[in-house]
Amino acid sequence: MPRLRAVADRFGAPLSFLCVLALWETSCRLRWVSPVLLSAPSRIVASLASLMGSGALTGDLAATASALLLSLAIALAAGGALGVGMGLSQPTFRLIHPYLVSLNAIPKVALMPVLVLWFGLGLPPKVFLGAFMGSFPIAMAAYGGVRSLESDLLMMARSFGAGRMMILREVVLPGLLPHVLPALRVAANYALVGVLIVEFFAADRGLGYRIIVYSSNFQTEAFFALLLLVAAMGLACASTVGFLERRLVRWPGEERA
Amino acid sequence: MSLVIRDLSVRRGDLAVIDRLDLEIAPGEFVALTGPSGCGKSTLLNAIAGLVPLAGGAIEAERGSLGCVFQRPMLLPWRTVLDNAAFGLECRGASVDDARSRARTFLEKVGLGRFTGYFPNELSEGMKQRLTVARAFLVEPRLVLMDEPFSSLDETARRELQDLVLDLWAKSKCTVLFVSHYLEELVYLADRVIVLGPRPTTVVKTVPVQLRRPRGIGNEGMLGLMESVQRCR
Repeated sequence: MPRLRAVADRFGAPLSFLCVLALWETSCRLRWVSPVLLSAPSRIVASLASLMGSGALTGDLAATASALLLSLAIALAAGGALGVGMGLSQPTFRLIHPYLVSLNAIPKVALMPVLVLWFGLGLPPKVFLGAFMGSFPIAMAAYGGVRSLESDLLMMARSFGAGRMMILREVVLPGLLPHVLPALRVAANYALVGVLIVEFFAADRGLGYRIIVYSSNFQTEAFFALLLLVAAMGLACASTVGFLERRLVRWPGEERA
Repeated sequence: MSLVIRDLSVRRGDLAVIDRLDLEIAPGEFVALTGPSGCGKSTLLNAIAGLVPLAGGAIEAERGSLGCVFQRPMLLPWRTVLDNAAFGLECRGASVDDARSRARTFLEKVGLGRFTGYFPNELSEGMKQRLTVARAFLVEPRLVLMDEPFSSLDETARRELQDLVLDLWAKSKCTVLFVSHYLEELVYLADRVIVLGPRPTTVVKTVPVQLRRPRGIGNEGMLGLMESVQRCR
């Protein structure tokens, strides 16, 4: 029995995934589902390969990726600064936190008309919404990180005469890394969603724009191929942050958390 | 360096923690402080280190040449043993390379030479506190403040670190202000034991420890002094 359980533990997840894929493939090939509603996985992958191979998506991919990277950089800087500010000063927390929480609760799609009025079309509204959505998890993680930093460590640094910059660089920022990096994974997905929302409504290039075009033209295979590409982008972001986490947070033990 | 405290008062909100305290410590003197829990010993050390604001009075001390050892090790978990030791020097403006080089030599002297690449969480409690003692003395302080540094250690580790502190103190000729609850530790280490009263604290009594060094634990002179400190607490 324990052996069976070990096999199930190891192969259960990939086997169940293969079963779902097989069922999906079969139901499409046998026309249990209309091809307009759902494409077979094999055809989605083939469509993605063909689109990528022909270079048809290169410009869209570059537009979305550049907007995402810019959004994340701004989210990291702005969210990090807000979080550290709130963590170091309770009056700042009381001032900023209600705005952060209430703004985060707004349905972002509802902002589209004003975003177009404010920023027009193209890169600026994408970066704004991506950064806006990505900032929240980073700000909250940075706030939590600063609050959980032992005040004793700050006191120790001050006792040696460390200045503000030294304390920020050598005590606060390294202490924040284990908190901010996991939040960056979430923020990357939020920022990607923000960029795609703008591309759905107010762009003439980008993966979001292309998804809407294919969906409107009932190009179901290409539509699902793009969803697959977006999912892969999310996975790539998470993997990159995971790599950074392993490289930057290398110290052992419970004091890391 | 001498430490002169005149008419010192420290408040925490409405609470008076220290009330008009006077204290004078000669250069190179090893002074131990004791008193009831919560009487303000740690607050006094923090005030001397410039970490808490004063409500009144004055402290004459050279803060730039200060080393602190706290009750808990307070090591930066993301820095190795070597880089933790070097931290104080870096705070004082030394370059990273210079600080590391001096830290490496010092760690060899205090028995941590084999552990320079370890992280704090890979060390025992005794080794962590040995590292914090090294970090404090590495900055060549003229005044070292130690706040119950060995209270969480077992007897053996405590004895080893007490001897290490005495050795470093003798070599550096700095002034040490050492807070402890352990009578034996107070009398074993100090030239003078100052007993503080309950909050708001003032000096209740000063007990000079005129015993030759090295002192033997449990000898008659020490036992007598321990009794006289105990009577004042």
